[in-house]
Amino acid sequence: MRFLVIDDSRAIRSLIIRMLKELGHQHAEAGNGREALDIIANNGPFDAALVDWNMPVMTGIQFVEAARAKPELAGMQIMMITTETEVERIQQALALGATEYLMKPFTREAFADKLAMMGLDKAA
Amino acid sequence: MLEISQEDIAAIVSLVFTTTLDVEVEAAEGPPPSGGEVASSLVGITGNWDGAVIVACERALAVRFARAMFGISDEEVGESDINDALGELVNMIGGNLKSMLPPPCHLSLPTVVAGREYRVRLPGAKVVRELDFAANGARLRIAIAERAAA
Repeated sequence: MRFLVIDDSRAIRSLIIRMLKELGHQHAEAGNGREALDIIANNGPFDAALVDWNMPVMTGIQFVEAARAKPELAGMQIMMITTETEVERIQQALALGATEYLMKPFTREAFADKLAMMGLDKAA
Repeated sequence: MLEISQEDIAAIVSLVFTTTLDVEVEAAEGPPPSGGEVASSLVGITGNWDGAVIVACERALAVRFARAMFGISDEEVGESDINDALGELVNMIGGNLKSMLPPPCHLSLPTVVAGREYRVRLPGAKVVRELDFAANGARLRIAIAERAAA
């Protein structure tokens, strides 16, 4: 599977990418939503985007909105990975088209379980 | 007024360190020793509660955090790795703390400072919780500062 990891924290991108590699997946990374849209424009859709909420330039929720406005990205799953836990904000993300939600901090097992739940557990 | 107990904060800190870094933290007495190099990170919370979360640790410990987070050796750890690792740790602690505060609250982007003999002060705020931990033989302090309601 091809994943796009979108987080302004290089530390979190590094953690997630290590987990994806261990699970046999391919990846690209972006520091904010705008950069992620540019990467998608240049490389085509990914199987899934793993998206932080609070980022400079373009937030995670703005990315979800922008991605869901593009019909060619309809098949790309979006998982929010964030410390945001307010029910209203989670509902907002899901209503805008996010597929799943994972709260930081998370274990390798929780991460792998979420991917499996989304049908994203097949290695590249 | 902050209604989150020391125990709840300790549980959040322990969860963040064990799940993210695979590092066990234990309650300890006293802050990181003075005189040595200390790295601090801070994240502000605004909204129905106003204040900040501050993480301060010995530089050696910050290097270990960065090493664990980036999967690199001590020798490969640079200043930007330490800044990013500490910034993310305070972001996760602040985010989890925020989930226990009355909504809506908003988290700022983290700030990191490092050096010797410095103090982090928030104008109009006072420290309402202070927890000291030991991890890998080094000291770590978590402080919660609360700004008085206007």
